[in-house]
Amino acid sequence: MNLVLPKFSFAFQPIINVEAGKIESFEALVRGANGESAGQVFQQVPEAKKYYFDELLRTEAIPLAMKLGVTCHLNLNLLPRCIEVSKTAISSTIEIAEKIGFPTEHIILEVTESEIINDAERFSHAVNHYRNFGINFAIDDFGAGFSGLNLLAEFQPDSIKIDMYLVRNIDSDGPRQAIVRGIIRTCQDLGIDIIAEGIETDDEYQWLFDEGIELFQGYFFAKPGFEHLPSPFFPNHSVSLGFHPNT
Amino acid sequence: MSSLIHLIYSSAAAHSLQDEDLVRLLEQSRKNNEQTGITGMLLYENGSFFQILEGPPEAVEALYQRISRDERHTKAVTIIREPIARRTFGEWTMGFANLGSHELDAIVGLNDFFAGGSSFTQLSSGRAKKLLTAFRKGRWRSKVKNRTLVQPQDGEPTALEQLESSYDSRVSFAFQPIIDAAEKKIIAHEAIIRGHKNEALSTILPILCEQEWSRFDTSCRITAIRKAAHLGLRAELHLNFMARQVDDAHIAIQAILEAAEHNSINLNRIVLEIDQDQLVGDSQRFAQILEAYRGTGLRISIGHFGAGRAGLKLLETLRPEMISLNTQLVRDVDVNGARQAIVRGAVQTCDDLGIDIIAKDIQSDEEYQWFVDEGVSFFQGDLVESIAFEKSLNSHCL
Repeated sequence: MNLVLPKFSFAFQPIINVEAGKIESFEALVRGANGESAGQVFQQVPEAKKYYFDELLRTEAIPLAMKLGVTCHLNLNLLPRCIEVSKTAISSTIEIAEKIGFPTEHIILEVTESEIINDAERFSHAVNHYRNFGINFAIDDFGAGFSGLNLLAEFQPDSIKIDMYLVRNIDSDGPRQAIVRGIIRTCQDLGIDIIAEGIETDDEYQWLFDEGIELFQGYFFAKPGFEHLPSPFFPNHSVSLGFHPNT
Repeated sequence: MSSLIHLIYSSAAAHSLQDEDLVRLLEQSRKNNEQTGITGMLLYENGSFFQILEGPPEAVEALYQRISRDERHTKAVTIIREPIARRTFGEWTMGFANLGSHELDAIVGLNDFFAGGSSFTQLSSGRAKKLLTAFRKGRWRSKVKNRTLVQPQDGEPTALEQLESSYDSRVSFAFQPIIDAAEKKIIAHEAIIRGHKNEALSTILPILCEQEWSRFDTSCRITAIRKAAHLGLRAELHLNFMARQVDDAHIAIQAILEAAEHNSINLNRIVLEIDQDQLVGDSQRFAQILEAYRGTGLRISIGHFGAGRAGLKLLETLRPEMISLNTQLVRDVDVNGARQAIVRGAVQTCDDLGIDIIAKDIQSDEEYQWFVDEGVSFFQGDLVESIAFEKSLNSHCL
């Protein structure tokens, strides 16, 4: 089975809490064995094995994260259809974590907005079971095109990640500001954490921070580190080495 | 004297053709035609080809055989094949026009489409010209199937009238008021398509193919504008925009402009309600097309906001003047915290952007009151009038 699948590894990018000055989580991003991009890796995955591969990635990412010393949360990606295709889509993730002693309540499964939208109710029903194990859920690329709004009516994740298109130049873009303010309002009312991802400039960061966002991810703080955990830059705070898992 | 024939056929483009595809097609045929002594013209409109070939019988037949096998066409229909005394298109190795409905209307001045060629009015009044006239009136569209084309009326119907009449017998409209609860007045009517006996849209039409949808959609708005004018509706008019292809938007909007002018309805009274999920194509490009008409007073509303592709990003790309909330967000909002949170966020964003919010399909007093308390004052729905007006205006809506 595995023969036709590409060799892969992971890069890790921190999600930081700027208010607390600490790393909140690392997102595991698939890479080729030699650091090739995620796109290149997925190109080599046969369509028929897509969901099998998706499941495999999670079970491989956890041991590597553990080995590298991840003690905070770990964000892993999940194709929602994987749940329909494989009964073990999420349970295998839990199994591995339990087996090697990685706390399941530290696992955050990220699902892209556009992929759940078609049947949010069913998705919600399917994943809620795993919340009993402490698994957290995040909606990725929120606001990217498909309406995340209706989705929130059916399924309230623990966190959302605001799509980078909304973040880009937000400091000078009125419509994006208005949209993000609305998202913040909705998420505050629903107790959903907001992560601003894809931050590239200090101005983008400042605007979002001033609106009350505390969780950030992006090149501005740290690029993904191939098979290692990079130390992020903490703006407005002296770099808090003590929080870094590797120190 | 060598014998000549002309062969006139229609066909459907197998795939939607881009301008560059058409140019390539044309270059190829011009080159071939020069060698084989074939002249004529090719019309292309929205998936339909209509071509006149004239020349020596063997050359015309051979070319037509080749065309029939060409994968770029399907459903080739031979309209006529007959001897002619002289060429109608003697100077053209292949005249060509890529036409929109409105350009078809202007076909009398066909010279616009043929750089340096003769004009249509100079064509001898042979069958080729008659068939061109028929094509202009909506005949011979190979893409159109399962539908009997309405016979052109006497006189010269405009393309608009032609388009409208082809569907007019089947559709009518209900005009549902949109009210401003704060001002207690009707601010607009949405034209909702119905059958003549008030049936829902789905029950009155056969399944339409893609190109037919665009024509149908365009014709609906023309009919709606005419009926609204006829009824003397003075409020704004909301028209649904369900075009399938982004590229058809120009033609569709032009038709609105014309129909509005024809019926003396000021464009600043018209709001286009966009159903994003019906639209195939790039929304950026669609926004660019809309942009060109913003100066006319025409306004944009995003329908079903919150559902499908009608999401937050569209507020930025389309910059609508208003949105109407998807029914799913409205239903039981008074007791559903998640919907409340979502609507509050949307209200915040729209306030920031100067976008009006319409709550559609209100079904209870509680839903209505919740929105009023959140500062939403535009409503639409069967129950709204009676709730907001205490039944006082119910009978005045039309």
